[in-house]
Amino acid sequence: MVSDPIIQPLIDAANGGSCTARQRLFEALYGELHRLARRQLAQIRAPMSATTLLHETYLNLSARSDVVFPDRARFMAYAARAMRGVVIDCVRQHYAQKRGGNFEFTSIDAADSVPSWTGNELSDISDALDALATVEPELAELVDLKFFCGLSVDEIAGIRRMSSRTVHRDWEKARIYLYGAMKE
Amino acid sequence: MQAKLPSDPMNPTRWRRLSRWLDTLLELGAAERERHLARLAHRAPALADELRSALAAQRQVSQAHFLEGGALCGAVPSLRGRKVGRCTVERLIGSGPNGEVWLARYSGSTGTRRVALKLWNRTSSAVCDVQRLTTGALKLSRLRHPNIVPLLDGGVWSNRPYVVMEYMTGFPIDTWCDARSLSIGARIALFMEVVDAVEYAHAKAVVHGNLKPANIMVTADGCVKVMDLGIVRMLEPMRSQTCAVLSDAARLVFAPTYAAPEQFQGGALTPGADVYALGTLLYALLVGAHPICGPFAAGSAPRKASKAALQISQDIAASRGCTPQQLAHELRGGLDRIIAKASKYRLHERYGNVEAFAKRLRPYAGGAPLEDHRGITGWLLRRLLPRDTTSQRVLTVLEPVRPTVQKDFADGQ
Repeated sequence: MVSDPIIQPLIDAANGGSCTARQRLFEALYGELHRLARRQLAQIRAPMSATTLLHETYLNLSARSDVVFPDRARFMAYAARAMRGVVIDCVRQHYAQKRGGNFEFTSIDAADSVPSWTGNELSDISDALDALATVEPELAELVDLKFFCGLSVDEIAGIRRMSSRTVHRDWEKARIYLYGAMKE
Repeated sequence: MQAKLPSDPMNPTRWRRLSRWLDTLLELGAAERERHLARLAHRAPALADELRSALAAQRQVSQAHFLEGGALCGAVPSLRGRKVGRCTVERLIGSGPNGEVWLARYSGSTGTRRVALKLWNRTSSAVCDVQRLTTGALKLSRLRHPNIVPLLDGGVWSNRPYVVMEYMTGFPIDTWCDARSLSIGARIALFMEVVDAVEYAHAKAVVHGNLKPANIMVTADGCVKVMDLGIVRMLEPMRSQTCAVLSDAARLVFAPTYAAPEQFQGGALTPGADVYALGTLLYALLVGAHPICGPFAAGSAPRKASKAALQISQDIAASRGCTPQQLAHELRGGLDRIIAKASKYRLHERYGNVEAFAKRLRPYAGGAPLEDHRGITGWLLRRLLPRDTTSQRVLTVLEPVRPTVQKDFADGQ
Protein backbone atom coordinates (compact mmCIF):
# COMPACT_ATOMS: atom_id res chain seq x y z
CA MET A 1 0.00 0.00 0.00
CA VAL A 2 1.36 3.39 -0.97
CA SER A 3 2.06 5.52 2.06
CA ASP A 4 1.04 9.10 1.76
CA PRO A 5 2.12 10.88 4.93
CA ILE A 6 0.92 14.15 3.49
CA ILE A 7 -2.74 13.39 4.10
CA GLN A 8 -2.80 13.28 7.90
CA PRO A 9 -1.36 16.76 8.52
CA LEU A 10 -3.67 18.08 5.83
CA ILE A 11 -6.70 16.69 7.60
CA ASP A 12 -5.55 18.23 10.87
CA ALA A 13 -4.93 21.58 9.25
CA ALA A 14 -8.21 21.45 7.31
CA ASN A 15 -10.06 20.69 10.51
CA GLY A 16 -8.29 23.62 12.08
CA GLY A 17 -9.88 25.84 9.48
CA SER A 18 -7.01 26.33 7.06
CA CYS A 19 -8.30 27.00 3.53
CA THR A 20 -5.04 26.07 1.84
CA ALA A 21 -4.90 22.80 3.71
CA ARG A 22 -8.48 22.05 2.74
CA GLN A 23 -7.70 22.72 -0.90
CA ARG A 24 -4.62 20.50 -0.76
CA LEU A 25 -6.57 17.78 1.03
CA PHE A 26 -9.13 17.80 -1.77
CA GLU A 27 -6.33 17.49 -4.27
CA ALA A 28 -4.78 14.59 -2.39
CA LEU A 29 -8.12 12.79 -2.16
CA TYR A 30 -8.83 13.57 -5.77
CA GLY A 31 -5.52 11.95 -6.71
CA GLU A 32 -6.34 8.97 -4.55
CA LEU A 33 -9.75 8.50 -6.20
CA HIS A 34 -8.18 8.69 -9.64
CA ARG A 35 -5.40 6.30 -8.74
CA LEU A 36 -7.83 3.73 -7.38
CA ALA A 37 -10.11 4.01 -10.37
CA ARG A 38 -7.19 3.44 -12.75
CA ARG A 39 -5.86 0.53 -10.72
CA GLN A 40 -9.32 -0.94 -10.76
CA LEU A 41 -9.51 -0.70 -14.52
CA ALA A 42 -6.07 -2.30 -14.85
CA GLN A 43 -6.96 -5.18 -12.56
CA ILE A 44 -10.37 -6.30 -13.62
CA ARG A 45 -10.86 -4.25 -16.76
CA ALA A 46 -14.29 -3.20 -15.62
CA PRO A 47 -15.62 0.19 -14.65
CA MET A 48 -16.82 0.83 -11.12
CA SER A 49 -19.64 2.78 -9.51
CA ALA A 50 -19.00 6.14 -7.87
CA THR A 51 -20.21 4.73 -4.57
CA THR A 52 -17.82 1.79 -4.73
CA LEU A 53 -14.96 4.09 -5.57
CA LEU A 54 -15.66 6.32 -2.60
CA HIS A 55 -16.04 3.28 -0.43
CA GLU A 56 -12.70 1.81 -1.51
CA THR A 57 -10.92 5.10 -1.04
CA TYR A 58 -12.10 5.18 2.54
CA LEU A 59 -10.92 1.63 3.13
CA ASN A 60 -7.60 2.29 1.51
CA LEU A 61 -6.90 5.41 3.51
CA SER A 62 -8.22 4.08 6.81
CA ALA A 63 -6.06 0.97 6.43
CA ARG A 64 -2.98 3.18 6.55
CA SER A 65 -1.68 3.61 10.03
CA ASP A 66 -0.68 7.19 9.37
CA VAL A 67 -4.13 8.36 8.39
CA VAL A 68 -6.72 8.91 11.09
CA PHE A 69 -9.96 10.60 10.25
CA PRO A 70 -11.64 12.46 13.07
CA ASP A 71 -14.91 10.85 12.06
CA ARG A 72 -16.54 9.20 9.06
CA ALA A 73 -18.84 12.11 8.39
CA ARG A 74 -15.85 14.43 8.02
CA PHE A 75 -14.06 12.04 5.72
CA MET A 76 -17.15 11.59 3.59
CA ALA A 77 -17.57 15.33 3.25
CA TYR A 78 -13.99 15.82 2.06
CA ALA A 79 -13.92 12.81 -0.22
CA ALA A 80 -17.32 13.55 -1.70
CA ARG A 81 -16.16 17.02 -2.68
CA ALA A 82 -13.16 15.45 -4.42
CA MET A 83 -15.43 12.88 -6.01
CA ARG A 84 -17.43 15.68 -7.60
CA GLY A 85 -14.34 16.62 -9.61
CA VAL A 86 -13.67 13.03 -10.59
CA VAL A 87 -17.25 12.55 -11.82
CA ILE A 88 -17.14 15.74 -13.87
CA ASP A 89 -13.83 14.68 -15.42
CA CYS A 90 -15.25 11.32 -16.27
CA VAL A 91 -18.31 12.76 -17.97
CA ARG A 92 -16.14 15.19 -19.95
CA GLN A 93 -13.87 12.38 -20.95
CA HIS A 94 -16.86 10.30 -22.03
CA TYR A 95 -18.04 13.07 -24.34
CA ALA A 96 -14.54 13.65 -25.64
CA GLN A 97 -14.37 9.97 -26.58
CA LYS A 98 -10.91 9.77 -25.12
CA ARG A 99 -11.34 6.32 -23.74
CA GLY A 100 -8.91 3.71 -22.64
CA GLY A 101 -6.36 6.04 -21.07
CA ASN A 102 -8.27 6.64 -17.92
CA PHE A 103 -11.35 4.98 -16.49
CA GLU A 104 -15.13 4.87 -16.68
CA PHE A 105 -17.95 4.53 -14.20
CA THR A 106 -20.21 1.53 -14.34
CA SER A 107 -23.17 3.57 -15.33
CA ILE A 108 -21.59 5.09 -18.41
CA ASP A 109 -19.49 2.27 -19.74
CA ALA A 110 -21.90 1.00 -22.33
CA ALA A 111 -21.55 2.38 -25.80
CA ASP A 112 -25.28 3.00 -26.12
CA SER A 113 -25.66 5.02 -22.95
CA VAL A 114 -25.50 8.79 -22.75
CA PRO A 115 -25.17 10.60 -19.42
CA SER A 116 -28.05 12.99 -18.90
CA TRP A 117 -25.74 15.80 -17.82
CA THR A 118 -22.97 17.31 -19.91
CA GLY A 119 -19.64 18.28 -18.40
CA ASN A 120 -20.55 21.97 -18.69
CA GLU A 121 -23.86 21.54 -16.91
CA LEU A 122 -22.12 19.66 -14.14
CA SER A 123 -19.53 22.44 -13.91
CA ASP A 124 -22.33 24.97 -13.47
CA ILE A 125 -23.81 22.87 -10.69
CA SER A 126 -20.37 22.61 -9.17
CA ASP A 127 -19.91 26.41 -9.19
CA ALA A 128 -23.31 26.92 -7.59
CA LEU A 129 -22.39 24.31 -4.98
CA ASP A 130 -19.17 26.11 -4.14
CA ALA A 131 -21.22 29.24 -3.54
CA LEU A 132 -23.70 27.29 -1.43
CA ALA A 133 -20.81 25.84 0.55
CA THR A 134 -19.87 29.32 1.76
CA VAL A 135 -23.39 29.85 3.15
CA GLU A 136 -24.54 26.40 4.29
CA PRO A 137 -21.70 23.92 3.82
CA GLU A 138 -23.74 20.95 5.03
CA LEU A 139 -26.25 21.45 2.21
CA ALA A 140 -23.46 21.46 -0.38
CA GLU A 141 -21.94 18.32 1.14
CA LEU A 142 -25.29 16.64 0.98
CA VAL A 143 -25.51 17.31 -2.77
CA ASP A 144 -22.00 15.92 -3.21
CA LEU A 145 -22.91 12.74 -1.38
CA LYS A 146 -26.28 12.23 -3.00
CA PHE A 147 -25.98 13.66 -6.49
CA PHE A 148 -22.30 13.07 -7.24
CA CYS A 149 -21.59 9.97 -5.18
CA GLY A 150 -24.94 8.22 -5.47
CA LEU A 151 -25.60 7.66 -1.77
CA SER A 152 -29.20 7.29 -0.66
CA VAL A 153 -30.94 9.56 1.83
CA ASP A 154 -30.91 6.75 4.40
CA GLU A 155 -27.19 6.17 3.98
CA ILE A 156 -26.48 9.85 4.41
CA ALA A 157 -28.75 9.96 7.46
CA GLY A 158 -26.69 7.10 8.89
CA ILE A 159 -23.39 8.82 8.27
CA ARG A 160 -24.59 12.10 9.71
CA ARG A 161 -26.54 10.52 12.54
CA MET A 162 -29.63 12.45 11.59
CA SER A 163 -33.12 11.31 10.78
CA SER A 164 -33.86 10.60 7.12
CA ARG A 165 -36.55 13.21 7.38
CA THR A 166 -34.06 15.93 8.22
CA VAL A 167 -31.77 14.84 5.39
CA HIS A 168 -34.72 14.88 3.03
CA ARG A 169 -35.65 18.39 4.11
CA ASP A 170 -32.07 19.58 3.62
CA TRP A 171 -32.10 17.99 0.17
CA GLU A 172 -35.20 19.98 -0.74
CA LYS A 173 -33.56 23.18 0.48
CA ALA A 174 -30.37 22.48 -1.46
CA ARG A 175 -32.40 21.86 -4.60
CA ILE A 176 -34.33 25.10 -4.14
CA TYR A 177 -31.02 26.96 -3.83
CA LEU A 178 -29.43 25.30 -6.86
CA TYR A 179 -32.54 25.70 -8.96
CA GLY A 180 -32.54 29.42 -8.25
CA ALA A 181 -28.82 29.73 -8.84
CA MET A 182 -28.87 27.77 -12.10
CA LYS A 183 -31.72 29.85 -13.49
CA GLU A 184 -29.70 33.02 -13.24
CA MET B 1 -46.98 28.13 -11.63
CA GLN B 2 -43.89 30.00 -12.65
CA ALA B 3 -41.49 30.09 -9.76
CA LYS B 4 -39.71 33.34 -9.24
CA LEU B 5 -36.91 33.29 -6.80
CA PRO B 6 -35.53 36.40 -5.19
CA SER B 7 -33.34 38.34 -7.58
CA ASP B 8 -30.25 37.34 -5.67
CA PRO B 9 -30.74 33.98 -4.06
CA MET B 10 -26.99 33.77 -3.51
CA ASN B 11 -27.07 36.64 -1.06
CA PRO B 12 -25.88 34.80 2.05
CA THR B 13 -27.82 36.80 4.62
CA ARG B 14 -31.05 36.45 2.68
CA TRP B 15 -30.55 32.75 2.07
CA ARG B 16 -29.80 32.04 5.73
CA ARG B 17 -33.08 33.67 6.72
CA LEU B 18 -35.02 31.78 4.03
CA SER B 19 -33.32 28.57 5.05
CA ARG B 20 -34.42 28.85 8.68
CA TRP B 21 -38.00 29.49 7.65
CA LEU B 22 -37.96 26.66 5.14
CA ASP B 23 -36.95 24.28 7.93
CA THR B 24 -40.26 25.05 9.58
CA LEU B 25 -42.46 25.35 6.51
CA LEU B 26 -41.27 22.20 4.72
CA GLU B 27 -42.35 20.15 7.72
CA LEU B 28 -45.93 21.41 7.52
CA GLY B 29 -48.91 20.32 5.49
CA ALA B 30 -50.31 22.66 2.82
CA ALA B 31 -53.05 24.22 4.99
CA GLU B 32 -50.83 24.74 8.00
CA ARG B 33 -48.11 26.20 5.79
CA GLU B 34 -50.56 28.68 4.29
CA ARG B 35 -51.67 29.79 7.78
CA HIS B 36 -48.04 30.40 8.76
CA LEU B 37 -47.37 32.40 5.61
CA ALA B 38 -50.55 34.45 5.99
CA ARG B 39 -49.56 35.39 9.54
CA LEU B 40 -46.04 36.24 8.39
CA ALA B 41 -47.33 38.34 5.50
CA HIS B 42 -48.83 40.80 8.00
CA ARG B 43 -45.54 41.75 9.57
CA ALA B 44 -43.02 40.86 6.84
CA PRO B 45 -44.71 40.80 3.41
CA ALA B 46 -41.46 40.73 1.45
CA LEU B 47 -40.17 37.71 3.34
CA ALA B 48 -43.50 35.92 2.93
CA ASP B 49 -43.32 36.52 -0.83
CA GLU B 50 -39.81 35.17 -1.01
CA LEU B 51 -40.84 32.09 0.89
CA ARG B 52 -43.81 31.55 -1.39
CA SER B 53 -41.47 31.73 -4.39
CA ALA B 54 -39.07 29.30 -2.77
CA LEU B 55 -41.90 26.87 -2.04
CA ALA B 56 -43.18 27.19 -5.61
CA ALA B 57 -39.64 26.42 -6.77
CA GLN B 58 -39.62 23.41 -4.51
CA ARG B 59 -42.79 22.10 -6.19
CA GLN B 60 -41.23 22.55 -9.62
CA VAL B 61 -37.98 20.98 -8.55
CA SER B 62 -39.86 18.04 -7.14
CA GLN B 63 -42.08 17.56 -10.20
CA ALA B 64 -39.10 17.74 -12.52
CA HIS B 65 -37.14 15.27 -10.35
CA PHE B 66 -34.39 17.89 -10.43
CA LEU B 67 -31.00 16.28 -9.60
CA GLU B 68 -32.87 13.22 -8.40
CA GLY B 69 -31.14 10.72 -10.63
CA GLY B 70 -27.54 11.55 -9.80
CA ALA B 71 -24.76 13.02 -11.91
CA LEU B 72 -24.22 9.79 -13.79
CA CYS B 73 -27.88 9.07 -14.22
CA GLY B 74 -29.65 8.43 -17.44
CA ALA B 75 -26.83 6.12 -18.05
CA VAL B 76 -28.03 2.73 -16.96
CA PRO B 77 -27.40 0.76 -20.13
CA SER B 78 -30.62 -0.74 -21.40
CA LEU B 79 -30.79 -4.50 -21.13
CA ARG B 80 -34.14 -4.66 -22.86
CA GLY B 81 -34.51 -7.92 -24.71
CA ARG B 82 -31.29 -9.34 -23.25
CA LYS B 83 -31.16 -12.85 -21.83
CA VAL B 84 -30.02 -13.08 -18.22
CA GLY B 85 -30.07 -16.71 -17.20
CA ARG B 86 -33.60 -17.87 -17.88
CA CYS B 87 -34.91 -14.29 -17.90
CA THR B 88 -35.71 -12.03 -20.82
CA VAL B 89 -35.39 -8.44 -19.65
CA GLU B 90 -38.33 -6.10 -20.27
CA ARG B 91 -37.76 -2.81 -18.51
CA LEU B 92 -35.97 -1.04 -15.68
CA ILE B 93 -37.92 -0.87 -12.44
CA GLY B 94 -35.39 0.92 -10.32
CA SER B 95 -31.72 1.51 -9.83
CA GLY B 96 -29.45 2.37 -6.96
CA PRO B 97 -25.78 2.59 -6.14
CA ASN B 98 -25.43 -1.17 -5.92
CA GLY B 99 -27.22 -2.20 -9.06
CA GLU B 100 -30.56 -2.35 -10.78
CA VAL B 101 -33.88 -4.13 -10.64
CA TRP B 102 -35.45 -5.10 -13.95
CA LEU B 103 -38.84 -6.41 -14.84
CA ALA B 104 -38.37 -9.61 -16.82
CA ARG B 105 -40.06 -12.73 -18.15
CA TYR B 106 -38.85 -15.93 -16.62
CA SER B 107 -39.15 -19.26 -18.42
CA GLY B 108 -39.42 -21.90 -15.75
CA SER B 109 -40.52 -25.48 -15.78
CA THR B 110 -44.11 -24.39 -15.18
CA GLY B 111 -44.26 -21.84 -17.98
CA THR B 112 -43.44 -18.16 -18.32
CA ARG B 113 -44.03 -15.61 -15.60
CA ARG B 114 -43.22 -12.00 -14.75
CA VAL B 115 -40.37 -11.61 -12.36
CA ALA B 116 -38.16 -8.98 -10.75
CA LEU B 117 -34.54 -9.46 -11.73
CA LYS B 118 -32.11 -7.96 -9.26
CA LEU B 119 -28.71 -7.38 -10.77
CA TRP B 120 -25.72 -6.20 -8.72
CA ASN B 121 -22.96 -4.03 -10.09
CA ARG B 122 -19.62 -5.52 -10.78
CA THR B 123 -17.52 -4.67 -7.78
CA SER B 124 -13.87 -5.22 -7.21
CA SER B 125 -14.34 -7.04 -3.93
CA ALA B 126 -16.94 -9.45 -5.23
CA VAL B 127 -15.48 -12.38 -7.03
CA CYS B 128 -18.41 -14.15 -8.54
CA ASP B 129 -18.56 -17.74 -7.44
CA VAL B 130 -21.19 -19.14 -9.77
CA GLN B 131 -21.46 -22.46 -7.98
CA ARG B 132 -22.04 -20.85 -4.60
CA LEU B 133 -24.61 -18.39 -5.88
CA THR B 134 -26.57 -21.02 -7.73
CA THR B 135 -26.68 -23.42 -4.79
CA GLY B 136 -27.41 -20.54 -2.41
CA ALA B 137 -30.34 -19.47 -4.56
CA LEU B 138 -31.56 -23.06 -4.76
CA LYS B 139 -31.59 -23.32 -0.97
CA LEU B 140 -33.45 -20.02 -0.62
CA SER B 141 -35.95 -20.96 -3.31
CA ARG B 142 -37.13 -23.78 -1.04
CA LEU B 143 -38.46 -21.30 1.50
CA ARG B 144 -42.25 -21.28 1.28
CA HIS B 145 -44.13 -18.88 3.49
CA PRO B 146 -47.07 -16.54 2.78
CA ASN B 147 -45.03 -13.58 4.03
CA ILE B 148 -41.86 -14.28 2.09
CA VAL B 149 -41.30 -13.17 -1.50
CA PRO B 150 -40.33 -16.38 -3.28
CA LEU B 151 -36.87 -16.47 -4.78
CA LEU B 152 -36.82 -18.38 -8.05
CA ASP B 153 -33.28 -18.43 -9.28
CA GLY B 154 -29.86 -16.88 -8.98
CA GLY B 155 -26.51 -16.87 -10.67
CA VAL B 156 -23.91 -14.74 -12.36
CA TRP B 157 -24.35 -12.85 -15.60
CA SER B 158 -21.57 -10.90 -17.24
CA ASN B 159 -19.62 -10.88 -13.96
CA ARG B 160 -22.63 -9.55 -12.11
CA PRO B 161 -24.45 -11.57 -9.45
CA TYR B 162 -28.22 -11.71 -9.85
CA VAL B 163 -31.30 -13.17 -8.22
CA VAL B 164 -34.75 -13.68 -9.68
CA MET B 165 -37.82 -13.24 -7.52
CA GLU B 166 -41.53 -13.12 -7.94
CA TYR B 167 -42.67 -9.72 -9.18
CA MET B 168 -45.08 -7.86 -6.95
CA THR B 169 -45.92 -4.28 -6.16
CA GLY B 170 -46.46 -2.72 -2.79
CA PHE B 171 -45.32 -0.10 -0.35
CA PRO B 172 -42.57 -0.25 2.25
CA ILE B 173 -44.12 -1.16 5.58
CA ASP B 174 -43.42 2.23 7.20
CA THR B 175 -45.00 4.18 4.34
CA TRP B 176 -47.97 1.83 4.41
CA CYS B 177 -48.56 2.28 8.15
CA ASP B 178 -48.22 6.07 8.00
CA ALA B 179 -50.47 6.40 4.94
CA ARG B 180 -53.27 4.69 6.82
CA SER B 181 -52.54 6.24 10.21
CA LEU B 182 -52.45 2.78 11.73
CA SER B 183 -52.65 2.64 15.51
CA ILE B 184 -49.88 1.12 17.60
CA GLY B 185 -51.84 -2.10 17.98
CA ALA B 186 -52.50 -2.39 14.26
CA ARG B 187 -48.83 -1.69 13.50
CA ILE B 188 -47.75 -4.45 15.83
CA ALA B 189 -50.32 -6.81 14.31
CA LEU B 190 -48.83 -6.14 10.88
CA PHE B 191 -45.32 -6.41 12.27
CA MET B 192 -46.13 -9.87 13.68
CA GLU B 193 -46.36 -11.10 10.07
CA VAL B 194 -42.76 -9.98 9.57
CA VAL B 195 -41.78 -11.76 12.78
CA ASP B 196 -43.56 -14.92 11.58
CA ALA B 197 -41.66 -14.90 8.31
CA VAL B 198 -38.31 -14.41 10.05
CA GLU B 199 -39.11 -17.10 12.61
CA TYR B 200 -39.92 -19.51 9.80
CA ALA B 201 -36.68 -18.69 7.98
CA HIS B 202 -34.64 -19.22 11.15
CA ALA B 203 -36.24 -22.64 11.56
CA LYS B 204 -34.91 -23.37 8.06
CA ALA B 205 -31.45 -22.09 9.08
CA VAL B 206 -31.69 -18.91 7.01
CA VAL B 207 -30.78 -15.56 8.57
CA HIS B 208 -32.11 -12.48 6.82
CA GLY B 209 -29.22 -10.15 7.68
CA ASN B 210 -30.67 -7.06 6.03
CA LEU B 211 -34.10 -6.35 7.47
CA LYS B 212 -35.23 -2.78 6.81
CA PRO B 213 -38.44 -1.07 5.70
CA ALA B 214 -37.39 -1.12 2.04
CA ASN B 215 -37.15 -4.92 2.24
CA ILE B 216 -40.57 -5.34 3.79
CA MET B 217 -43.41 -4.60 1.45
CA VAL B 218 -47.13 -4.53 2.05
CA THR B 219 -49.12 -5.47 -1.05
CA ALA B 220 -52.36 -3.84 -2.12
CA ASP B 221 -54.39 -6.49 -0.29
CA GLY B 222 -52.56 -5.79 2.96
CA CYS B 223 -50.25 -8.79 2.96
CA VAL B 224 -46.73 -8.42 4.31
CA LYS B 225 -43.95 -9.68 2.03
CA VAL B 226 -40.38 -9.95 3.26
CA MET B 227 -37.73 -9.76 0.55
CA ASP B 228 -34.04 -10.51 0.29
CA LEU B 229 -34.00 -13.25 2.88
CA GLY B 230 -30.55 -14.76 3.15
CA ILE B 231 -29.14 -12.68 0.31
CA VAL B 232 -26.51 -11.07 2.55
CA ARG B 233 -25.00 -14.40 3.45
CA MET B 234 -25.25 -15.66 -0.10
CA LEU B 235 -23.20 -12.74 -1.41
CA GLU B 236 -20.81 -12.62 1.53
CA PRO B 237 -18.69 -15.69 0.67
CA MET B 238 -17.97 -14.14 -2.71
CA ARG B 239 -15.55 -11.83 -0.99
CA SER B 240 -12.07 -13.03 -0.31
CA GLN B 241 -10.81 -13.28 3.25
CA THR B 242 -9.16 -9.86 3.31
CA CYS B 243 -12.08 -8.28 1.58
CA ALA B 244 -14.40 -9.72 4.18
CA VAL B 245 -12.56 -7.83 6.89
CA LEU B 246 -12.47 -4.68 4.80
CA SER B 247 -16.10 -4.95 3.89
CA ASP B 248 -16.98 -4.94 7.56
CA ALA B 249 -15.02 -1.76 7.98
CA ALA B 250 -16.82 -0.46 4.95
CA ARG B 251 -20.17 -1.05 6.54
CA LEU B 252 -19.27 1.59 9.07
CA VAL B 253 -19.55 4.00 6.23
CA PHE B 254 -22.35 2.56 4.21
CA ALA B 255 -24.16 0.94 7.05
CA PRO B 256 -27.61 -0.43 6.54
CA THR B 257 -29.02 1.33 9.54
CA TYR B 258 -30.91 -1.65 10.93
CA ALA B 259 -27.92 -3.97 10.98
CA ALA B 260 -26.69 -5.26 14.33
CA PRO B 261 -23.42 -3.94 15.79
CA GLU B 262 -21.69 -7.32 15.41
CA GLN B 263 -22.34 -7.12 11.68
CA PHE B 264 -20.02 -4.13 11.55
CA GLN B 265 -17.42 -5.79 13.69
CA GLY B 266 -16.73 -8.82 11.59
CA GLY B 267 -18.74 -11.09 13.87
CA ALA B 268 -20.68 -14.04 12.52
CA LEU B 269 -24.14 -13.38 11.17
CA THR B 270 -26.50 -15.13 13.61
CA PRO B 271 -30.27 -15.09 14.18
CA GLY B 272 -29.50 -12.56 16.93
CA ALA B 273 -28.73 -10.00 14.24
CA ASP B 274 -32.29 -10.37 12.94
CA VAL B 275 -33.63 -9.97 16.50
CA TYR B 276 -31.73 -6.69 16.69
CA ALA B 277 -33.04 -5.54 13.31
CA LEU B 278 -36.61 -6.45 14.26
CA GLY B 279 -36.24 -4.45 17.47
CA THR B 280 -34.98 -1.31 15.74
CA LEU B 281 -37.50 -1.72 12.96
CA LEU B 282 -40.37 -1.94 15.44
CA TYR B 283 -39.00 1.13 17.18
CA ALA B 284 -39.04 3.02 13.89
CA LEU B 285 -42.56 1.85 13.07
CA LEU B 286 -43.94 2.86 16.45
CA VAL B 287 -42.01 6.03 17.22
CA GLY B 288 -41.55 7.26 13.66
CA ALA B 289 -37.82 7.81 14.02
CA HIS B 290 -34.83 5.64 13.69
CA PRO B 291 -32.85 4.93 16.85
CA ILE B 292 -29.82 6.20 14.98
CA CYS B 293 -27.57 6.27 17.96
CA GLY B 294 -27.70 2.47 18.01
CA PRO B 295 -25.38 0.87 15.53
CA PHE B 296 -23.42 4.02 14.78
CA ALA B 297 -22.19 5.14 18.13
CA ALA B 298 -19.52 2.54 18.67
CA GLY B 299 -19.63 1.18 22.18
CA SER B 300 -22.73 3.09 23.19
CA ALA B 301 -26.04 1.49 23.97
CA PRO B 302 -29.06 2.29 21.80
CA ARG B 303 -31.22 5.13 22.97
CA LYS B 304 -33.92 4.01 25.38
CA ALA B 305 -37.34 3.87 23.80
CA SER B 306 -38.92 5.40 26.89
CA LYS B 307 -36.70 8.47 26.63
CA ALA B 308 -37.39 8.85 22.96
CA ALA B 309 -41.10 8.57 23.57
CA LEU B 310 -40.94 11.88 25.39
CA GLN B 311 -39.80 13.59 22.21
CA ILE B 312 -42.63 12.40 20.00
CA SER B 313 -43.97 15.14 17.78
CA GLN B 314 -47.60 16.00 17.23
CA ASP B 315 -47.35 14.80 13.61
CA ILE B 316 -45.99 11.39 14.50
CA ALA B 317 -48.65 10.85 17.13
CA ALA B 318 -51.43 12.05 14.83
CA SER B 319 -50.41 9.55 12.17
CA ARG B 320 -50.97 6.89 14.83
CA GLY B 321 -54.37 8.27 15.74
CA CYS B 322 -53.40 9.68 19.15
CA THR B 323 -51.65 12.48 21.02
CA PRO B 324 -47.94 12.39 21.94
CA GLN B 325 -48.92 11.78 25.58
CA GLN B 326 -51.14 8.83 24.65
CA LEU B 327 -48.45 7.41 22.39
CA ALA B 328 -45.79 7.75 25.08
CA HIS B 329 -48.17 6.13 27.54
CA GLU B 330 -48.78 3.19 25.20
CA LEU B 331 -45.06 2.66 24.72
CA ARG B 332 -44.08 2.93 28.36
CA GLY B 333 -44.01 0.10 30.81
CA GLY B 334 -43.81 -2.85 28.44
CA LEU B 335 -43.32 -2.18 24.77
CA ASP B 336 -40.30 0.04 25.38
CA ARG B 337 -38.66 -2.69 27.44
CA ILE B 338 -39.33 -5.34 24.78
CA ILE B 339 -37.82 -3.11 22.10
CA ALA B 340 -34.85 -2.22 24.29
CA LYS B 341 -34.14 -5.89 25.00
CA ALA B 342 -34.41 -6.88 21.34
CA SER B 343 -32.06 -4.10 20.26
CA LYS B 344 -29.42 -4.52 22.96
CA TYR B 345 -25.95 -3.63 21.78
CA ARG B 346 -24.52 -6.93 23.01
CA LEU B 347 -25.79 -10.04 21.30
CA HIS B 348 -26.07 -12.11 24.48
CA GLU B 349 -28.27 -9.52 26.17
CA ARG B 350 -30.95 -9.72 23.47
CA TYR B 351 -33.78 -12.23 23.26
CA GLY B 352 -32.24 -15.63 22.56
CA ASN B 353 -34.38 -16.11 19.48
CA VAL B 354 -37.18 -14.53 17.48
CA GLU B 355 -39.69 -16.85 19.10
CA ALA B 356 -39.03 -15.40 22.55
CA PHE B 357 -39.34 -11.87 21.18
CA ALA B 358 -42.59 -12.78 19.39
CA LYS B 359 -44.04 -14.28 22.55
CA ARG B 360 -43.51 -11.08 24.54
CA LEU B 361 -44.76 -8.87 21.73
CA ARG B 362 -47.88 -10.75 20.68
CA PRO B 363 -50.14 -9.49 23.51
CA TYR B 364 -49.67 -5.94 22.21
CA ALA B 365 -50.94 -6.72 18.71
CA GLY B 366 -54.44 -5.55 18.06
CA GLY B 367 -56.24 -2.43 16.95
CA ALA B 368 -58.40 -2.18 13.89
CA PRO B 369 -58.43 -5.46 12.00
CA LEU B 370 -56.69 -5.05 8.70
CA GLU B 371 -59.55 -6.61 6.77
CA ASP B 372 -61.56 -3.43 7.43
CA HIS B 373 -59.23 -1.50 5.21
CA ARG B 374 -58.95 -3.89 2.35
CA GLY B 375 -60.77 -2.75 -0.72
CA ILE B 376 -60.35 0.92 0.02
CA THR B 377 -56.62 0.57 0.04
CA GLY B 378 -56.08 1.88 -3.45
CA TRP B 379 -58.30 4.82 -2.77
CA LEU B 380 -56.56 5.60 0.47
CA LEU B 381 -53.12 5.39 -0.98
CA ARG B 382 -54.06 7.53 -3.94
CA ARG B 383 -55.42 10.14 -1.57
CA LEU B 384 -52.56 10.07 0.83
CA LEU B 385 -49.67 9.55 -1.50
CA PRO B 386 -50.41 11.74 -4.48
CA ARG B 387 -46.87 11.43 -5.79
CA ASP B 388 -47.35 7.76 -6.43
CA THR B 389 -50.68 7.86 -8.19
CA THR B 390 -49.55 6.74 -11.59
CA SER B 391 -47.26 3.99 -10.57
CA GLN B 392 -47.20 2.39 -7.19
CA ARG B 393 -43.73 2.25 -5.84
CA VAL B 394 -42.52 -1.01 -7.15
CA LEU B 395 -40.97 -3.68 -5.09
CA THR B 396 -37.29 -2.99 -5.38
CA VAL B 397 -34.51 -3.93 -3.13
CA LEU B 398 -31.46 -1.88 -3.92
CA GLU B 399 -32.19 1.31 -1.99
CA PRO B 400 -34.53 2.13 -4.81
CA VAL B 401 -34.55 5.52 -6.35
CA ARG B 402 -37.46 6.63 -8.42
CA PRO B 403 -36.71 5.84 -12.04
CA THR B 404 -36.31 9.20 -13.67
CA VAL B 405 -37.82 10.49 -16.85
CA GLN B 406 -34.46 10.10 -18.54
CA LYS B 407 -34.15 6.51 -17.50
CA ASP B 408 -37.62 5.68 -18.66
CA PHE B 409 -36.83 7.38 -21.91
CA ALA B 410 -33.54 5.57 -22.28
CA ASP B 411 -35.40 2.41 -21.62
CA GLY B 412 -37.89 3.08 -24.38
CA GLN B 413 -40.83 3.84 -22.09
